[in-house]
Amino acid sequence: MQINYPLLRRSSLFALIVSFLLGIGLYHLKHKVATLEKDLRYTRSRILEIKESLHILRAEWGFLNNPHRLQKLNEQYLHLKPVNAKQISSLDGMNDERMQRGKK
Amino acid sequence: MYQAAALPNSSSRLQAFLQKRQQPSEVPMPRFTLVVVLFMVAFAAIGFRLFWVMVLSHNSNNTAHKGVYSLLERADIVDRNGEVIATNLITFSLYARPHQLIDGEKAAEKLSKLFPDLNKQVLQKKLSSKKPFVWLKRNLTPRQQERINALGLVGIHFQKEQKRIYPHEKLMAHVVGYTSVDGVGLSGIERKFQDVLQEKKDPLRLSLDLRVQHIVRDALIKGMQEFRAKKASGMVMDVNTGEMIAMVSLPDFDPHKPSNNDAIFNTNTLGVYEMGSIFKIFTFAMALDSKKVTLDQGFDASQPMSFGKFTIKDYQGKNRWLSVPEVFMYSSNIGTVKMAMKVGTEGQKKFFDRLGFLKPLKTEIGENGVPMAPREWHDINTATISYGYGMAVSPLQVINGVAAMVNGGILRSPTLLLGNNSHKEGTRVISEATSEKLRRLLHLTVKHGSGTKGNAPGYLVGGKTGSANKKDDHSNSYVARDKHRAIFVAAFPMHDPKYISFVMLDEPHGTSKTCGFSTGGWTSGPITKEIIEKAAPLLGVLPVDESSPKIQAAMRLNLSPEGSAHALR
Repeated sequence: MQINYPLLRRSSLFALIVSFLLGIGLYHLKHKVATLEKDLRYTRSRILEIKESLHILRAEWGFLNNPHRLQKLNEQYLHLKPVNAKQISSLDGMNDERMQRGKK
Repeated sequence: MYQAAALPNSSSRLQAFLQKRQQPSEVPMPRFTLVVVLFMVAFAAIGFRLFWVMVLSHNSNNTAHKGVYSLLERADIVDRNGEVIATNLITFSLYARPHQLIDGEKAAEKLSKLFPDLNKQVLQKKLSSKKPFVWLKRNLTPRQQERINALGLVGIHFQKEQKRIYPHEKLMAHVVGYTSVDGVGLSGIERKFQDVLQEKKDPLRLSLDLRVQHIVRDALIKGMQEFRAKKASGMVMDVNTGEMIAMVSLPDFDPHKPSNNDAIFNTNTLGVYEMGSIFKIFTFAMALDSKKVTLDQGFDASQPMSFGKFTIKDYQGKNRWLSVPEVFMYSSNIGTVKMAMKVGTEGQKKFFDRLGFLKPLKTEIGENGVPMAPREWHDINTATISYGYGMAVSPLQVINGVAAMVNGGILRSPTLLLGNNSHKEGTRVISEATSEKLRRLLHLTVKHGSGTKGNAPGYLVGGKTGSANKKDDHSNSYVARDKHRAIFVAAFPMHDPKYISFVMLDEPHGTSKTCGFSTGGWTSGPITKEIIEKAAPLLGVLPVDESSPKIQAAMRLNLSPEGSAHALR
């Protein structure tokens, strides 16, 4: 059986270079993936943190909006009174009044 | 010499070696194939595994992040406008591993300085114990946690925990309920929706309106104080959907620290009571719907009625002939009984069965009272039930029943969830025409009859008062007049009812302002008026001009059909 040595050498050299390049490529890819995964983990934990603080803020907003508290604050500082039925009028009602005044 | 001889030989030996290698026949063919196959299998396995990891299972990453968020997994409860009613907070609980402590006494001293409520002696005992683990304090705020961290103690640790929080504390306690330390619902919505709340991510939306709930509670608290009542119940309901807008039962409790006393009892759903004159609404509906009684008729209410040994009298009676609208407006027992007798016992039984008054309601909270009705229904039962004695139902059943009387005659099951009834049709219990007549009668009562104290001008209120004598728990007989329940049911606006309210005070006492009266009209009436005046603008009900001809015509009733002029609207 006859074997061509130079050819074998060339192909193995080629294989060597290819595997070397693949190795470098793979290393870079792996590194990139690792970085991305780190970013992803960080982002996810940030999302969780923000979700948690949103949750706490919403609960706090609930506490601040406690009607009993608001009513007390109103009595202390604003002295607002509930709306009286006489203060509310529809556009039609306004028209009627104007017309009646006009007639008078 | 050896080296010199070896050198020329070495190249020839290498050649011989290479020649040997070039002869594949020296490596047996089957072994070579075996090696190739083995390598192929190994690489295929690696390839498959790579494919598996990179393409098929992308979830593998998430498990690491689940830990914290799973603590927040019990869904929130919000009101109809999205305001938070129940939510979870992450808190930190403090524990110690005593064997890790360097100086237990010093640690106890430092900690007791931070928390005055922790007893120093108890702390020292805990920290010097042989246990591997002791709780020191549960549910700390982040600020407290920071302070403890600043102490730099070894052997002191934190455990992340969740705590169910109710920002409005007592306000919705009876409806929403409460949970155990481990976050398991123990009453109300929290219990009934335990599984839903655990699985669901988005909040559970109730039909209650936080603002109206507060208005009702505030008015009830004031009323309870003014009339020195023992208990109070109040509700507001959307008459067209059956959605509860407010449900308050007093006394109430703080869901963060529920105690096992009377306050946990929800009077609106769990309590069943004789409703007194409120039941006249149903008797009138029954009688008018049967067409055996019309609004143009009248009844003689000048003499008390006797039923065997019972005598039926009127409270502050007019002692004369009364037209049907007058019977309603002055709340005459005699007239009402006569109307009920025209329909008869069987008809009455069927009517209350249709209204669902003979069995417990099904609601979204587990606590529902079982109504009491006579086992054998005789004429005397028909007579007393017609004006609200001898049959006991829950306030929720009453408000739901009256809602069906004024909304055009459609009965729905009351709901505490927003939009829960939007696809349900409901059942017709009375005709549209009967409902329309009842609306006029109810408005008449508020305008000129026993319910004037509950009138909120502009909102075209219609309602009925009731004062139900209380039975003595031991003797099962009715006690003195001052021990009663004062009730007021009101719907508005009467030409197109949108909402209905129910107010009940348990054992109110008259004041100088009410001339000593403590009946429904005098005590629960003003509370109802306050609720309607404050809540109507929030609920988007616009006031109307009650003197406009259109409204006048819609509310018109002939009080004395046989007489000539005396007509009130």
